[in-house]
Amino acid sequence: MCRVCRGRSTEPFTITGNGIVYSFTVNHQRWEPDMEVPFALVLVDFPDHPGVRIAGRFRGGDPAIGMAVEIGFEAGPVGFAVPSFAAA
Amino acid sequence: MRLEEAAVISGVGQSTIGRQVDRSGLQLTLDAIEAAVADAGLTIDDIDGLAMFPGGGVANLPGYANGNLYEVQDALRVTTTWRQGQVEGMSLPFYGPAMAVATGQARHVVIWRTVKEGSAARGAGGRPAYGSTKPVADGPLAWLLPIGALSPVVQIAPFATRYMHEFGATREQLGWIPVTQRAHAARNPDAVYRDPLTLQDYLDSRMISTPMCLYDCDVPADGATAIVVSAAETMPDLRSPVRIEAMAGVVDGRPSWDQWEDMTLVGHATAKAMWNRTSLRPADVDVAQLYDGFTIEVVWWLEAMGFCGVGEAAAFVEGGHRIALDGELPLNTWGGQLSGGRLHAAFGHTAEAVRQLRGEAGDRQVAGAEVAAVTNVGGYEAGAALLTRA
Repeated sequence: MCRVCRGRSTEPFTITGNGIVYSFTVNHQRWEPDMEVPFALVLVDFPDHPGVRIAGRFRGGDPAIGMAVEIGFEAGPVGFAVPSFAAA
Repeated sequence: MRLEEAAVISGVGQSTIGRQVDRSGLQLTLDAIEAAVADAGLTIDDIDGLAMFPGGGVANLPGYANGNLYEVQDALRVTTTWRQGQVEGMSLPFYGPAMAVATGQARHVVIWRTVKEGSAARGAGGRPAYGSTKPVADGPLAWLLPIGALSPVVQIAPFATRYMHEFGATREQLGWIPVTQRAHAARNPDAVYRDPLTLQDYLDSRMISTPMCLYDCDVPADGATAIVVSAAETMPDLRSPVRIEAMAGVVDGRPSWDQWEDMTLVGHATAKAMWNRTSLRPADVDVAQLYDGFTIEVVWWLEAMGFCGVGEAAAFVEGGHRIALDGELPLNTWGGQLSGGRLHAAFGHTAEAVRQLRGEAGDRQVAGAEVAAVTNVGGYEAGAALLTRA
């Protein structure tokens, strides 16, 4: 359901361009035996697309609030790709 | 008549609480129910309503150990006219039961919450994480589990990051919340951790998920809490009922940890709705039992409830004086979940509020406590209430 008009006709939409880190955390705890730590997670907003926030991994260095990041993907669990961001 | 005037909290009871307690979830549940019913001045036969959180018979984290409502009812051999077991939307433990007794669906409802997360943590070699009981990512966590946010601490840590960034709050300030609560726990024989904790201990402890360290996280524990909610008209039959002055549970943001729009403001709509139902003001609160799954949740509620202004909680708690037992706002006087144990969902907080208002809180009693605040979680599950001495 559309979050603006509650319309039921929705479809995938491609966002290109950079996002902005809204917040982040660096996880140090090994929650599963084979989990590699530490790793950073970011919540990324897209100023050109109000209401869109994507949670993802962060690649390379330390994230910071307000940092511009580019969209990417990395390998996730059981063969899926997960969102992954890097400094723009 | 307002809903709150038609219901009272009549009893609270707990099982043995510890890091690991060698009793099943069902036995712990029955221990707490028996204690709560006796505390109310009632007998099991008086109970005609049963409720538990969470219900559904589904453990969504290892160590959720309520038992099954049918199993508990079968053990108690009670006839019920109202039951409730819910996974989402409880708001406060006594909210649904209060509605039941206020509308005549039942006279005495017992609601319980049982955890064996301490045992589950030992079994898992650490704090229980999502994944072992929930291998499929769906629902509100669908976008968090696959990226490795396998525990509530990881999911909520970005709230603390954003808050500290926005207001310049520091760990040196926020650490006074767990440090002060540990001092309170030292006076609570049922608390899980009672040894002194210093600010240096806090600062030196290992990071779990930045900026939250070990002592920012509540303690996985084993134990059960039961609360009896009774129709106000039964007060003459009750040993020492406590009044519900006001309660509310408003969710005005996206029901999701990652999608919550403004991570510096949590609980405000709930607190506002609660204050709109009473003429009491924040300065009237004698003791505050504010949900503390993590330190940052206390920050939310201090500000949302108006005990300090937005962005002021770190300064408010710094040094610990204001939130100490003899301070202007004694906070989580049982140690909270950070030291008393993660009894979850404001069950422990409610039990403590009732004991404080009755003057039955032992060495940690706040002198003359007449008004207690209780809050639960914040964000996509939120509740706030004032309880008063009858």
